[in-house]
Amino acid sequence: MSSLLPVFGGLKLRLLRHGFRSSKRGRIATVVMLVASVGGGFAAATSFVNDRADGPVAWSRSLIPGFTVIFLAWVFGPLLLGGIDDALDPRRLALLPLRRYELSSGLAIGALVGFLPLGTLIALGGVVVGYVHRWTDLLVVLACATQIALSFSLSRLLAVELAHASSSRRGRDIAVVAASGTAAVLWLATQGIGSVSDTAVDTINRALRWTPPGMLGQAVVDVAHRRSVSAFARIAMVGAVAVCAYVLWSRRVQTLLTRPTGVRLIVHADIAVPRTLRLLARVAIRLGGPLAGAVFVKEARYLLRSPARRSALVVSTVMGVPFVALQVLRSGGFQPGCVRYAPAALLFGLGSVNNLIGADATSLWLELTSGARLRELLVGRGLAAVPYLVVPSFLTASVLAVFSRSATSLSTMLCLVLAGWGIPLGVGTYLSARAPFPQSDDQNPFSNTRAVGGPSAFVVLAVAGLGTVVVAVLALPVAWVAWKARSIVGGTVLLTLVAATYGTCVWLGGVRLAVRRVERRGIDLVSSLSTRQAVS
Amino acid sequence: MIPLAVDAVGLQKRFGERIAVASVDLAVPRGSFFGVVGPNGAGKTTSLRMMTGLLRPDAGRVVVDGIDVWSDPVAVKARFGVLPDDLRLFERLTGREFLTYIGLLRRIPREVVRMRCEEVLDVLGMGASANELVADYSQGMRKKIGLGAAILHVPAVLFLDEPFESVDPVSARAIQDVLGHFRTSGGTIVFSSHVMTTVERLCDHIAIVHNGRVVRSGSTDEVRGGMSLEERFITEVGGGAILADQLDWLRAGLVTV
Repeated sequence: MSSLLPVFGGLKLRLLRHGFRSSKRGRIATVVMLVASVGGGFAAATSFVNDRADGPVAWSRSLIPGFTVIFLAWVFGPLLLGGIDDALDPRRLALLPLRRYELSSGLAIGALVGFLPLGTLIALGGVVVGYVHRWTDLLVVLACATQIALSFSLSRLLAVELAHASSSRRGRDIAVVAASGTAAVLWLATQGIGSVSDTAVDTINRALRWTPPGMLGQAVVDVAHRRSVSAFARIAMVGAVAVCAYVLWSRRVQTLLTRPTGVRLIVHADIAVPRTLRLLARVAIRLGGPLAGAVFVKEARYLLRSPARRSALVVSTVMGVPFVALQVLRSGGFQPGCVRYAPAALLFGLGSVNNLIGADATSLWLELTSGARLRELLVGRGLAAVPYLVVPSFLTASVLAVFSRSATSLSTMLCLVLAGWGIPLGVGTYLSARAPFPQSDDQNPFSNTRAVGGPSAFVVLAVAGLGTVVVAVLALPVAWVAWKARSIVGGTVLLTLVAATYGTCVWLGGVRLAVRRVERRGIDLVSSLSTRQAVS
Repeated sequence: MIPLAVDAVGLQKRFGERIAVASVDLAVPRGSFFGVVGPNGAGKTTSLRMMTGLLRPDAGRVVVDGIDVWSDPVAVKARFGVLPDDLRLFERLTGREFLTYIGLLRRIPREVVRMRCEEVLDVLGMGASANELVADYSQGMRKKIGLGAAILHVPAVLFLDEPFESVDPVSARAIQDVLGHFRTSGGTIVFSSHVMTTVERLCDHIAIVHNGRVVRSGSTDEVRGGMSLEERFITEVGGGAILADQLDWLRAGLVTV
């Protein structure tokens, strides 16, 4: 086996190198990830070293949350950034005569070579520098090594369990809701850190130190207090957890190799088009052209049937509601007017509307070569993407209205959300022509073989969010006048009309600009996106 | 009695309500070129996946080169090479790096791997694209590089699922030459295909699979039974003929939109 470890390590290094060299986007993504991991690592390391000098109270306030954050970064980072690469996919090694321990060791090497491990090493280096002063302190090194083993094994175990769950539609939906819900909770927790008191931190720490990563942080504190036996006991317990997780993971990986690779998604598909869809299809035809209706109906069906798109809708909804709710809480609680912040929830749906050309570009290529015009395709696709924007905002508005007991504001906001989706959609449509990236309609929502898309997609998302705000702000004077109209109902109607007109103009303007931009490169652009996607 | 390279008995596989393979028995003589043909959805790929340890069967057993596939999958994987239909490659490696990597994982000495890689790339006509990323390869090139990876360790049996699909005639000839050389040296080849003329020309043994069962199997002449393979296939599988009043609208130049 020893002869294979360098081979696996070499593979991962080559994948990283080619990821950097392959494209401009790849270079940007690599640099972003490198800066983030090294910068984050050094920041954490500096903090650990400085806190050592601040006394016993600072030790536990720094180490226990620090170890927990590192652990959570390992477990949820790859999921949130779409980051699993070829070196971590066991199915690529299924044909090779590798024993279970060889396969798991190889995959482990793939996971332990990369940006996140680098950042972790730097951060834990700070712990070693700060807390190792005599030979008995070497337990700190053992705690750090156990932390890496724990983070690695539990993150891999979660990933393989999600891959197993993804072989059925219900399992996949549950996994997506669970993963995005957990991420939302974690995110909420991180948002509250700055405002919690020291007493609250100590209370949280008392709970965290019974979790495996918290126990390791506590073990380092114990070493600093010269309680070596206690420290060793904690490290041993966590080590046992890590070993169990590793063994379980390697077994589950093995079963993954002999399972069917595809699943039937639709048991009973209704061919008839529902009345609501027919109505919206007419709108698409009116705005986009004769084929826009058919494109819209097809895309709407995909929204239900495609695992990637269903997952995106679920994630944007699950993440959007707590995001806005937290901002409202921070800015004075659930006051009667807080419903007006609900549209901010669409931020998480923007990622699905700012890549209308790159997403499932193989289908787009087929539709273009079948005779559809790009305008028809973008209008059909755009209209089918409206739920990504409307559903999170609707749900958020309802939640805020319930907590603030303001039903009147809710109806106004629902009208506005229904009317104003054209603004983010227009910005997103234009951006999808400016910076399209190949995004396959993957069976597994947790896998992304083109992991370099993560940071780049994040940059595009940030631009989309900013662009939406800027375009929306431009309409504020008119909206303000409408809001000041005499009667409440009249004001709402007027405001809705203004928002609908403005939104539709922005959307169709975005479509027009996108078509103009893409037409310069012709079908070559879509072709290049779809060819790359077809093989990934 | 001719020794068997592959002996599959009573293979069954069900996906939920759907029976993909009802019962497949295949006896592949050592040194033969064995073709598995059948209509779409007949269970060919599922059967091949079960024979190569990629999909666990609900029932039945498979012995390849004297080793039970599901008792000792590691040992048996060293004896065969596979070119599956949905081959997962390392997209961010170049073709040369991919072959080298697979060779090293199969514990072939680095020098030998290097020599074999160059020769395989040359024979398959991929020398010029050896330093391109696999992600940028066409479907045909992916088939060829997959075949290269399957033969690198000199297996006793080769399983190929639709090896000639998406492959241009020149490349198809190159692949056939490679397979011919492999067989002459004593290797056994099991491959599935829809192209009857290719199967008829290359194979000395054939099995026709339909509805998850082997409906006819034996030497090529036995299976054909005095007909062409295509005629025999349609006789066994049925369907395919267009009635006189069907597709009446399909006339070249008749624009209806």
